[in-house]
Amino acid sequence: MISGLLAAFPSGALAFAEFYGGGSLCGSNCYFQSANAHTFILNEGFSETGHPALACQLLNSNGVNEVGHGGGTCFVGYSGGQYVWARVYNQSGSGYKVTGYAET
Amino acid sequence: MPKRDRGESRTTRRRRITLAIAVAMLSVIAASGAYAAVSSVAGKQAPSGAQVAATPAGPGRLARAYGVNPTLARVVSTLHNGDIVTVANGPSARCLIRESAGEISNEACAPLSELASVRTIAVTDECGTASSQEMEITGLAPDGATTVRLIDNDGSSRTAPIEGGTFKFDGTNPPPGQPYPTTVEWLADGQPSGIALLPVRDGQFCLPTS
Repeated sequence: MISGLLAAFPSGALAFAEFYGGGSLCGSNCYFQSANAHTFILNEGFSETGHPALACQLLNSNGVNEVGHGGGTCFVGYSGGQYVWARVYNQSGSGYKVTGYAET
Repeated sequence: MPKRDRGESRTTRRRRITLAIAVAMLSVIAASGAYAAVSSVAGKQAPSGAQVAATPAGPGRLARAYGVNPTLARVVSTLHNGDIVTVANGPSARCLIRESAGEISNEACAPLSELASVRTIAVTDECGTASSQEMEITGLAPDGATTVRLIDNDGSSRTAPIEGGTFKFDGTNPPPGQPYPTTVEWLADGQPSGIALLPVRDGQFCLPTS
């Protein structure tokens, strides 16, 4: 399982990036969530074991809720600057190995 | 003393030779791995999620995993929310890349042989309390398609032209209990030429925040 990786990027590039999840995820709208909220601007989801329907979400309790759906991968962006959590959902109905990746 | 020096020298040489062989073997292994990664695209197969995740992070990661250069994308259209829809072509794959406020906010790619697959379709729901509840559906279209029809679960539909190999539908998130889109159907000269299910179903358009 990959989690909470602080990535080193060149100056002026990304400030923080995090892989989360990475294990088997049940298909009934189950999700993995980032370890913490950050000023994420992009959230990506991947399945290593097929092309299930995935959904990526950036959200907080302050009314931010952006969702992107895709087959095998998913993406969602957010440019509001608030601290948001990142989630990746498996909406396929079957279990798949799924990894999320969010960056500020 | 000179013998001892010669002996140490032989040992050093052996170590250098061993090291050189090891480096050469590692190079071959690395080259094989690189070829395998490239050949998955060259062989017209979609990269696995593991290969995508292993692609260096940064803008256009999915496109790069498919062997497509995202910086060569050309603008095709603009969505109601201001996002720009672009298309980038590679030797054996094509990507639809959406940009929001100058940043890549969405990607959908497929091998050229699979342009009619679900992986070419991206659905975005703007569900926040301050948002206008817009929903954008974008995707790549197979070559030859001139029109695309978005079909709802109640059989109603609307059509849109194919622009630069892509299609788009701007709408709003379907309220609970109301018709919702399920399928796209491509038309070539007015005749159906293929369908793909959307990667989202009833009750999944806006996800909870709790």
